[in-house]
Amino acid sequence: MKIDDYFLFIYKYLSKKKLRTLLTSIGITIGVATIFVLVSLSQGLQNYISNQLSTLGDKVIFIYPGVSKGFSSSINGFISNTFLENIQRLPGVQIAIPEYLISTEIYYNNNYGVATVYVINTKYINYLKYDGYQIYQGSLINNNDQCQVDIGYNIYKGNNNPNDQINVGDYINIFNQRCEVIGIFQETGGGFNNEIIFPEGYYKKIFGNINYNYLMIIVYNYNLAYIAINDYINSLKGQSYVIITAKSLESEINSIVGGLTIFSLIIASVSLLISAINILNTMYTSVLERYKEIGLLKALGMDNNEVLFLFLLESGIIGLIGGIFGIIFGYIMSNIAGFIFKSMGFTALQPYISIQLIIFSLLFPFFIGILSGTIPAIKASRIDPMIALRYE
Amino acid sequence: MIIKLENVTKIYKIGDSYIKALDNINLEVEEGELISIMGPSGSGKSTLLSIIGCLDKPTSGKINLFGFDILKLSDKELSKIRKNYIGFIFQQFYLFNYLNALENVELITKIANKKNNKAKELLEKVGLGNRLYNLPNQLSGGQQQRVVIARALANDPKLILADEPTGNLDEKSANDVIDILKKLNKEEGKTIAIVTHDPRIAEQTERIVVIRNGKILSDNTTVDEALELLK
Repeated sequence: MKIDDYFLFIYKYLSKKKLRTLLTSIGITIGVATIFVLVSLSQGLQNYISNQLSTLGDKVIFIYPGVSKGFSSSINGFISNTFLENIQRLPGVQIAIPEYLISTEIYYNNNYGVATVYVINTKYINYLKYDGYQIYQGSLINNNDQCQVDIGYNIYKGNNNPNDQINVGDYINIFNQRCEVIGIFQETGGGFNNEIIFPEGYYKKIFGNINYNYLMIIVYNYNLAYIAINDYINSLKGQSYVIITAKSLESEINSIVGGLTIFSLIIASVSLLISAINILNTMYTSVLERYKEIGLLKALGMDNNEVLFLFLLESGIIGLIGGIFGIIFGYIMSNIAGFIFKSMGFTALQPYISIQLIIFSLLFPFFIGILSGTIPAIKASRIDPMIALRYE
Repeated sequence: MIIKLENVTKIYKIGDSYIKALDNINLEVEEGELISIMGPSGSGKSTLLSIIGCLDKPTSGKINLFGFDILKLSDKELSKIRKNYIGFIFQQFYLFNYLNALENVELITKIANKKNNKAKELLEKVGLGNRLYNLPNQLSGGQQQRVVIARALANDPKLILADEPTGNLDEKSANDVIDILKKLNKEEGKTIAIVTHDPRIAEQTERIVVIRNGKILSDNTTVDEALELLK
């Protein structure tokens, strides 16, 4: 038979057994839909992160004193003048900008919140663009000795409370000082939304001095600078430092997202395994039920290989049907999930559906079907037509 | 010579005992003959038909069909013989119940990878031109058997083998079926072998072969003689 004749024959049979076919393939549908949702969301997340991080590019390296343990790293210690000067002198480094990073309460209108404050000398303010900051309204702070701030998008929105929105020209209370809001940063998917940029000169006026704990290093030769900084930090005894680059962040995030994806894929494959057994069972039943029919096909001139092919294709198609429904449900569910995440404020978690994912979601269940159908198909191909036709 | 069986013996093993279904059968059939094979149940007549139909192989003996030495052919080659040279008609109608009449007939052409699709024409010929798209369960027994005949003809076989073709039919339908078979033999020169225990069928064929306990008792006898032998 020609290939399209096989398809037609299988179509005729399966459409007579619609309910059974659907019930058999439902396991595949669930498995494929699960994989589809997980992979599309984690790919979406990964893409988003790469995009975000690519704004950093290979122009900036951060250093802070402390120890990194996965994501649970924290600042512990200070940056000395000697350290700053030595970093500044390393090859590939354009400029090392010291900052003081602190989490503090802020008060505004009748509300209060917690913000991450970057204290920085305004003479370096234009370098912030390398860190991905972009102004949404107003401007960057420009007077080192006045109480003025730039605020992140969430703070501007009053943490999603319309009554508490803070506009350019309003005042907030920070470090017990009344400071004017000069600019607002654009919304990002990442960490800038709850940040405040505070002028170093004014900070010194309040507290007398400043202990830097964060170094933003602008480089003109990334590889050269990265190696030199790494070597220098490794040569130090006592205080340990954490180096953050776009590339290191990206690989760290990717490995975590990748780990989660693999974990969920393992769970999804369990459901696929169960549905493979389900297909095996259905095909086995089908071969028994169609014992005479198979005998007839052979009497009418089909040889063993053609019968084998027919049944392999049929179980492959049952898998494929499951896959198609899996893609439809997966597509709907991943979009619903994306919508929910968006309404919860996780704008980063949007599904990304790649063509590879769709092809995989079709081919994989097809092969699962073929694999599960192998034993029944071999059994069918070995049926003796004479015995089958006499079989009651 | 279209069929030539020499000393064909078929022994079945059932449990621990052996049953001689065919015992030293010699049979020759010329192209264009219409023969009937008569015998009581268990006489070996269906086994004989299976062996002529390349569905079964004898334990010993020689078979030549259409000039091929059948025992030297592989399973794949035998299936080619079946689809290109032989049309089968069974007692039970054996139609695919999820295919309509037309599709059931076309299936054979498709299995044989043949291009000329005469399915419609054949169904019209057996009087089912207005039942092309009916599923088997929407057809009467006689109509179903006529679909089977159309199917048996689809690949233009030289030989038609019919195993109790009227066994499940009422008299009128049975006569229709026999009329069609006779017409095929006369007008198109098809060689037809009918296995039956019904003397009314047998008397309409040119040659009656009587078989009992796996042996041919008589070849080319009259119905009355046959009935006498089978008593």
